[in-house]
Amino acid sequence: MKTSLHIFLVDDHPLITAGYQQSFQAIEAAGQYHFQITTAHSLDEAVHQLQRFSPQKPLALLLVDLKMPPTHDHALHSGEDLALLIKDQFPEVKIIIATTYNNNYRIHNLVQTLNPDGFLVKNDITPELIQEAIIEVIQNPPFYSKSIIRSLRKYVANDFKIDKLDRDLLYHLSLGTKTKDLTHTLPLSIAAIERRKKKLKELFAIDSNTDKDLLETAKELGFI
Amino acid sequence: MHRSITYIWLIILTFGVPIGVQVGAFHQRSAQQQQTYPQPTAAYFSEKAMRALKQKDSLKFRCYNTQAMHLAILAKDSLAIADVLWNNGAFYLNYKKYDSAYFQYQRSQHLYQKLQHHYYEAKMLYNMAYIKSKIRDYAGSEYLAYRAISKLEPLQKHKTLYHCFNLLGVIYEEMGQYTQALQCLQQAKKHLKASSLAPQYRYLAGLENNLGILYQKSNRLPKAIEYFQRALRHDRLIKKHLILYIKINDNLLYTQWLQNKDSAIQKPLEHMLFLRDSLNHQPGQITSHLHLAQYFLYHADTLQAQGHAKHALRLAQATTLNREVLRAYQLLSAIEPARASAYFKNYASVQAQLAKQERKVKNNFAQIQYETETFIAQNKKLTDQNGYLWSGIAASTVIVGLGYAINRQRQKNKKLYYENETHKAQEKIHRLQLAKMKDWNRAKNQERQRIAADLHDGILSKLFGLRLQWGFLSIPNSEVHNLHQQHLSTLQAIEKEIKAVSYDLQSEILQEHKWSFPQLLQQLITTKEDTYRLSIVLTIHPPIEWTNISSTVKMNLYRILEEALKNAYQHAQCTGVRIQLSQQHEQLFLNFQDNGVGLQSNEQQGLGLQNIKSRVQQLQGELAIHSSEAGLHLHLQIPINS
Repeated sequence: MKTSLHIFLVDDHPLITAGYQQSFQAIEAAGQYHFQITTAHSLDEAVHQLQRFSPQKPLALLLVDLKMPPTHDHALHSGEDLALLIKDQFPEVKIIIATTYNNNYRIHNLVQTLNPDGFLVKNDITPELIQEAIIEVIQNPPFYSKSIIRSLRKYVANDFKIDKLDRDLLYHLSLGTKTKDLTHTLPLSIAAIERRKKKLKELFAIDSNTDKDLLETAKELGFI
Repeated sequence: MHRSITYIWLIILTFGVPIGVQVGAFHQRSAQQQQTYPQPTAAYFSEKAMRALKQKDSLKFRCYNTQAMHLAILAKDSLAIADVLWNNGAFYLNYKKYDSAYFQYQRSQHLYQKLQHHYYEAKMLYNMAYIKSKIRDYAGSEYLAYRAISKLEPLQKHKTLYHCFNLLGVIYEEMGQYTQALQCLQQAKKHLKASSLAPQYRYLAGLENNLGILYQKSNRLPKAIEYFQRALRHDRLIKKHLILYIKINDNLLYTQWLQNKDSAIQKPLEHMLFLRDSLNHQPGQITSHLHLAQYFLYHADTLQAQGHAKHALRLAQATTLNREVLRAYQLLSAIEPARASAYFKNYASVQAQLAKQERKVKNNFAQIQYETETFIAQNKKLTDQNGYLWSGIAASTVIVGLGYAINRQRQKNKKLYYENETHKAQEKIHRLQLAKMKDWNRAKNQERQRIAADLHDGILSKLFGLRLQWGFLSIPNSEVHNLHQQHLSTLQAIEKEIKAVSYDLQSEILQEHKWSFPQLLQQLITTKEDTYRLSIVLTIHPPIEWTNISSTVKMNLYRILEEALKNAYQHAQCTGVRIQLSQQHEQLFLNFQDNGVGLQSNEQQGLGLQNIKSRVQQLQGELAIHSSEAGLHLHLQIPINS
């Protein structure tokens, strides 16, 4: 008896969804699963297609790209938002993120907020890998591709010393935000920010005054 | 002819006199002539001329005096010129050329007046008064004499004062104002006694004689006799000044006779005549003859009287003493009443002639006076004009000077203003440069971001999709399959590379956004390396947080580096420059070192260094300049938030 699963593939490039489709078809060919596949190429379309699913016809697996143009009403900005929305509707849904990013901070954040069942960096993906990932996520989640695991490992190694605010601080600094403007985005005073920076420099064993060195080291260590 | 040749020889000999000859001080005029003459001067020749004048050698006198005048004019020595004119006056007076003498004296007087030499001026005035009295211009003479006196009295020059008062006495006597004449003579006597005039008794005797005559004329005969007798009391007079003695004696006898017409004075009078005859003193002879004629006339001895009168007339005519001629005619007409009309005619003609002569001389004087006055007026006018001219020149000089000063000040102000403006403009340029750099960076970043996004989102994704689908193509042949797998992994590698490129693009964007000032500096250095052909090494260590540094400091730092590089290129003849920037606490440090020749000691500090100094001052920083053969070393310390 074949298990019938509703699959939702979201990526702004039709070539990619077509590729994913082929992966699912390849798994189908093995005979264990039957996939009912829906595709969408933008967040707007995804939201629209979402209406096809219902508790009676629940969505089993979402494979979504992170970076996509936002919806017209600006309700959703990325695949992450979409994933959260779907997870809200179908708590049992398995989510696979396939992204081109390998930004440590972003990956770490995603793991914390969304905790996806599968996390793939597109560059890691090969026909074999994606088939393995799909099967693993369905049967025995999670499945993280190698780049994700490497990034997380780095991050976790230093995690005990650096809290969320430190990370945010580093992240915003790396975006080029000035210290004085950071007070608007972080719940910290300038003095507090300076103190944190000083603490981070001590932690990273940086013997300089500049943010540049701090950021470079932070990047190396996987915080950004 | 022979004589003149001798004189020429004499002159030549005089010129040949060794330099430095001491000349005796018998020239009474000035003390200055008692000095040695290193070379023939006007004074030297004037001296010689005076000597010649005393020797009554007119040719020699003229020679010397002309020479003296020439030298005085050459030396522009007014005093010497006045002296020479005086000589001339004395010379003409000797020859009774009254008008010429007067003219010379007057010119001399003007010069002394100009030189403020009051004593000599007074002497000239006296001489002029004397001449005027001689031509019977008594009013003029009186005026001049008083002018002389007014100058002499403050100086207490008793000798000359005596002469003046004596002259005045004679003038008043001639004018018949006997009381005034008496007063003047008394004054003269007072000054004579105070003076050093020697021999005093001779002058005193003369004065007393004059007083006697005065009393005689004013018909106070006993007083007159008293004075004559007093005059005769001076012993030595008879030995040394016989003529005067005779004159006084004669006057005494005549006065005694006037007092008592019966007194026996015939013998003494004839004795006097005898003495005068033996001395050949013609004026005295005439007087004696006239007195005797009067005596004989009184005693009705007409023959004797006529003889003496005719004798007097002849002598007077011979010596052209016209007034004596008149008196002789007067007497003759009294002696010979029959021929009185004829004598009277003669008398009238002589008087007319005399009057004519006098008029002529007076006319000459008037002319001299007029010419002199005109000359003075012209001079004054010229002086006035000169004055106007000079004051005009002075005024215009002042105006020009003021104008120059004002203009200079204005230019200075302008220069300062423009310097200030240049400074402002430079600052503006720098701001624009920074802004432009920012804009440029932003545009660059935008473009980079676009390229990164395109690469990442478009190309990379499409490549990935393609590769994925391609991987699902079933390739039956195992050999082809392997090749296929190989290509797929190559594609995967390409994807990775694109991603890396995209990432690098973005990360560079972040950095550039923050580090734009060092970039600006780097750009400056690259440009200067090219244009100045210098090798410049810029190190910034320890790193500087540029965002914390005010743009004024950054701007000035930029300019300072620019100036320093320019200076290194233009003056130091260097090939390499090392620049080190660092920040410690709130201070920014700049070390600038070139390998040139250093500052040249004789070279004034260049404008570039001045500019650097002023900028550092503006930033309240400090600048140390160290120059050696190894090059110029600038060390700057600037507070980052000045």
